[in-house]
Amino acid sequence: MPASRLSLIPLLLLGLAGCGDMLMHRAGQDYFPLISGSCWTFEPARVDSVGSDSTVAGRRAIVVYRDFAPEFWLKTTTEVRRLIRRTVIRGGSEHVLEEQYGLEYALPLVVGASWAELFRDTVVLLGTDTIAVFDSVWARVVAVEDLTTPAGSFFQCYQIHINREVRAETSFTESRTEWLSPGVGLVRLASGGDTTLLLDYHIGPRP
Amino acid sequence: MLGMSSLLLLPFVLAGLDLGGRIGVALPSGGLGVQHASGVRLGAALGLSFGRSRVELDYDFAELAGRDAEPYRLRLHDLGGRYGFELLHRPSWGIEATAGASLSAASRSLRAARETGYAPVGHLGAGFIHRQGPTRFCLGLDHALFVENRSSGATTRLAFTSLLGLHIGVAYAR
Repeated sequence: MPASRLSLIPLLLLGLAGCGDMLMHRAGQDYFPLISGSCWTFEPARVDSVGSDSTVAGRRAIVVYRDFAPEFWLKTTTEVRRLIRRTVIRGGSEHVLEEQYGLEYALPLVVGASWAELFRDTVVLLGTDTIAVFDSVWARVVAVEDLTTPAGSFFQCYQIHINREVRAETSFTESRTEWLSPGVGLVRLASGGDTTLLLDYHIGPRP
Repeated sequence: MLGMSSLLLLPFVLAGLDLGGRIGVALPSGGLGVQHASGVRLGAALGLSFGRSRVELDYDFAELAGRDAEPYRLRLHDLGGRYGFELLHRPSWGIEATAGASLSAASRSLRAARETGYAPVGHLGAGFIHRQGPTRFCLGLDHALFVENRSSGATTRLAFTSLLGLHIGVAYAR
């Protein structure tokens, strides 16, 4: 058999292989792009954007404006953290109960992966008033899904369940589900019966 | 048992086939390179050379670790075929260009979490060949392009992922 015909065999295999299932695509994607100038608009009305870097709580952080209120984020190849700062007013002045970069996402995202973090402290205020602070987060990557929002169709989104419990001066529990799209970030958020959908976005400065 | 296997392989060896192995490094590029460090690559090939041309049936395994994420692994098992043509052909050495295709079974794991999948791959490569009697040495560079596509309704998404490979190999023919 001539060489040219033999070389057609692997090409035929390639054709028969179909479409693959995007695992390699997911492996190479950034699911939480924090690039300066980026902006995400959601419905119901909410606008998130990325500003420039700033040094906060001893770390060089990325400033993210969530509905124009600044948040401070850290991102490495293995995790994404957000500054959590809880305060209480006593005797006319502000006291810090908790100030730490709490874990938001452990990277890389793989279906079935989970992460958890616990912050626990006891704060004594004005020498007599004691407040126990408990802040825990537990999250799990549950699925890969394709979904559509008013901003368009998004393929290979990771669905993540996140639970947070805070017990301090005020206590609350929060359970939410996020869908992160490759190269885009958050495209859908479900929390307490409400759903937030991505309406428009641009990654990096608007062209 | 070994003797029986040798007898079964004998007609192929006599027909001019060569069998060899290779070792090398897989170098992730683009987005893959952000999350993944370079890793080891091992392979085996069954080849047939005729003049300046050569066809190969080959298998490769590559394992990439996560950058700073020690428990994370991306593993690739790749089976396919390649055609090579010696652009520069001398009795004892040559410069070869290769093209081929394969099917790659991939898995990503992070502790107990695991994703598996497959992707068709296109290969382009180049190599330096050295022949000495029945032995064929090769130092080569390979560009693997994973081609994946996904359709949902009227929208189709085509995705390409690159992985470079550098390898040395030896094949032996009787």
